[in-house]
Amino acid sequence: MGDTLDGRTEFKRQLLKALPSLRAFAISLCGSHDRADDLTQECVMKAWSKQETFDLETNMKAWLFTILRNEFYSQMRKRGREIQDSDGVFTEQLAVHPSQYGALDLGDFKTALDKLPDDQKEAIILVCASGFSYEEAADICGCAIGTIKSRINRARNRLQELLTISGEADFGPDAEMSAVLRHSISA
Amino acid sequence: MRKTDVTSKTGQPSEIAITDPVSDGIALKLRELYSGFENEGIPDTLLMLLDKLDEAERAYGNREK
Repeated sequence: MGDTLDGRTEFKRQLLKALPSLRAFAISLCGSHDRADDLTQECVMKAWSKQETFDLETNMKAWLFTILRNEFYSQMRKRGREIQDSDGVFTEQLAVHPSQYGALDLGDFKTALDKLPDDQKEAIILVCASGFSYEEAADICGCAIGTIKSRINRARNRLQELLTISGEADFGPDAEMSAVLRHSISA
Repeated sequence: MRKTDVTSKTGQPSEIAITDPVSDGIALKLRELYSGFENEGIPDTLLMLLDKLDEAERAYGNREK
């Protein structure tokens, strides 16, 4: 498609539009901003080199996520598991940029997310955060829709375990109100 | 096709799903985290890379003519 100036401009426009979400996916997957930026950069270069084969009518975001995801696993295979970031990375970042992440429990959530197996982590991120359908996520990950659903369920169960929550009432927007009410009753 | 359903009913693009497991506390917290990353902005190095790729391609295209 990129054989004309208009095609190239449109390709770049769509790529720029998808970039924030693509980078967010990379950070969520890697657990490290530095590594995510390297991964995103690699993905952009690969996508640019393949733009001739990309059809502008198709889903650019899904296409980019597929490239990034494949590059992530390729790097994992090359470098081995030891490169995966430790749980302390986010805590360290939180100390530097607290305003970016909001409440502290978001840091706890990130720490728990980082502990998930990669296949479960990518599934729950793609569907619950990136906004892809189960079908799109299955295409991106190269697996069946049922596998994606299963991975998401396991990811959710594991997150609940890690966050030691007994149910939704203890987790989310109502938690603070519940605490206030409990305090009022006991006072 | 969760996202499509939500969009068609409200007329507004939305990441919020009607059904579990994509609209509960864990999903909301995950989206909050993800949105934070999205809103950080794109690092200059990435934007510069795109400009360089674009420039290189234009220069190559001009040489070909």
